Amino acid sequence: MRGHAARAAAFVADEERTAWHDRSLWFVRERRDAASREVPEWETLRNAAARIKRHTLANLADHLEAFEANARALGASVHWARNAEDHNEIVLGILERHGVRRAVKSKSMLTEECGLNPFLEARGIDIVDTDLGERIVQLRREPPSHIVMPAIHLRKEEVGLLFHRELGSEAGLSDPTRLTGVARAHLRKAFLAAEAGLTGVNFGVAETGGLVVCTNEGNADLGTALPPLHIASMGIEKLVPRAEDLAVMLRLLARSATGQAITAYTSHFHGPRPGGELHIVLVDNGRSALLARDELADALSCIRCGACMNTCPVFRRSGGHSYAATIPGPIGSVLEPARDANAHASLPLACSLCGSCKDVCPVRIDLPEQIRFLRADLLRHPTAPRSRRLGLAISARVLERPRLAALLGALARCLAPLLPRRALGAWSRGRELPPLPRHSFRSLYRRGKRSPIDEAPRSTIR
Amino acid sequence: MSDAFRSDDRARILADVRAARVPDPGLPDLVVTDSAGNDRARQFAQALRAAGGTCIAVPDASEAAAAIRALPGFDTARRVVSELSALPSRHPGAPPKTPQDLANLDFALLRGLLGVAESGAVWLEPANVLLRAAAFLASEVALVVSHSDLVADLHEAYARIELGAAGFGCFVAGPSKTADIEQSLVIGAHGPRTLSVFLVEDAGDPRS
Ligand code: SF4
Repeated sequence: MRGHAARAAAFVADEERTAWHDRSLWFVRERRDAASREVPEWETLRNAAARIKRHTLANLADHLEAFEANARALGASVHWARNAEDHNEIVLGILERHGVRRAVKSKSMLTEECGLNPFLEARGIDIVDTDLGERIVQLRREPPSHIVMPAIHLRKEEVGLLFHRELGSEAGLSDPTRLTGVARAHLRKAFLAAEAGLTGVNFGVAETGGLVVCTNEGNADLGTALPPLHIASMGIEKLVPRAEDLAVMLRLLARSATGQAITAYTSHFHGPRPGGELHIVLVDNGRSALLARDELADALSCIRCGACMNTCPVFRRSGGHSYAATIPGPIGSVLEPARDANAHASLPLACSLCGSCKDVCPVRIDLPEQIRFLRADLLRHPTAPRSRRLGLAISARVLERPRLAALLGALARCLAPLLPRRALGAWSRGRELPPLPRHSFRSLYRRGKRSPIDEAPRSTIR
Repeated sequence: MSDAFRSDDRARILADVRAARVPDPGLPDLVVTDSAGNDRARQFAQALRAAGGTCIAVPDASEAAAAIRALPGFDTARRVVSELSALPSRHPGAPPKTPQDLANLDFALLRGLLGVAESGAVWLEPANVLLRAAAFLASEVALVVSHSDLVADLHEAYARIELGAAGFGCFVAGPSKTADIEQSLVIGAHGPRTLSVFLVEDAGDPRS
């Protein structure tokens, strides 16, 4: 089975694009840094957010019941889906009861996870993603490559070509403003024709039974302001207990995601609009199973800001599609193998354990620790790459025996510089082997102990 | 599928969730920001500008109306939805009945209930579906907010909002925007291409 490394190879083959992708995401990371520095109580907010989400997870069943009761009291219908199939059937049922043929949908990673679009299309329902980036990848018939910037892997010329082919815009267009104008006109028609608006949910509020959806384009707001039928798909982990908890979450979310103080639109839905219907579909699809795994349950705190992707040295250089998963990047490397170890065995290996994701995560998920845990777990799995399992098995044997380790170390210091570069595989591509030290760390350490001030520093300098 | 089947699903999900034992750190204390010395109006204007909007301070409601009349294109605009009594709505032909009737809306003039200094966001609770749709459909949006309704941050905002009392409420910070093509910022992804906020010093009733 092709793993992350093989898929990444396809992406990095285009060096120019890789460098550009890397720069684009790092730029977003820097904007996040600048935005966070403008808030003196940033770390207090992160601590508060982490506790709010952990507390919610610890009492999730109670909060879900409260949320459901309050949402119903406001006139919303609440549905429960154990898995993706149930979710899709429930949404289809609602659409069919209303005779809906055309629907618009704003960004929702959950409906991606459930494969809702192909499911509805196969049943004759025209479903249009209205977030510009999502519309682009929908027209290309590919999944988003990033949870906040779905088309970050594409160049503007490619979008121009796509719009020319699919939307009949003039050939050779590549100016982002004009391309956005083309999409605006195209999507305005879809909005006006839509008989239902589907959305994801950023936060559900247990004490009020309300939903919060954040967008910069205003597409979720348009999609729910025009047609009277609103269907909101929501993972069961999306709750916060109280209205005031939204303040903490929203102050962190946009700053972490794009470096904005807040998204252009933060809509709060409490019940259906007059004369309309609001359906909330609560989806488990593996979440309760994840909640039961002590080492990993924290990952359900994720608020999908994407900061861990923007900072990840692997994601920036390998592209979101190399993860072949709904959620890519560091958090995807936890969530996806936890859901399906067979399909995503290589993801915990797509990580240098540098820890940068943990430093930026607004809800303080210990991603490197979870990835390390999954790595240990997955390497025991029969689908793990043989070379990795063998390599680790050998290292374990050697490191258990200090004498053998010292001997092999000395041997390696003599022989490694003589090896043909090819023997080092991908590691030698674009890099030179650094000059190897003449003495092992152990011998330096031993000497350092004898004369800690004089000798140790000098030998490291040389 | 029958409802009985569905209620089994509900029970099963809740049981699965309950079976997981997750340690509870308890809810944190409220976050309080020391904002006493802040110049809220200035902070608000700056934050709004960063979000692509414009903040215009006016002494009173009638000056706000005059300033809106002076907005480029307002004079000749054919379609206006207004919540401000000094500036009537305009619509050629029959009055709009559904949100779809507002498809080519030029201006939306709405009342903002709160302004958040830290982020330049304005809290709206449109009173009906037409006003609500107007906020997202119009090419130009003008909001009127009273200076005394500026709060420091979202903590203060949620302390003042009675969440759930209105079926729909929204923080609006700047016009519609996207950076989905090569990270280039484009204003006017869908609805509003401009957002002007008129900050009224001596409000009285900002609607009048
Ligand atoms: S894991 Fe943390 S940083 Fe990554 S998307 Fe989720 S909340 Fe953001």
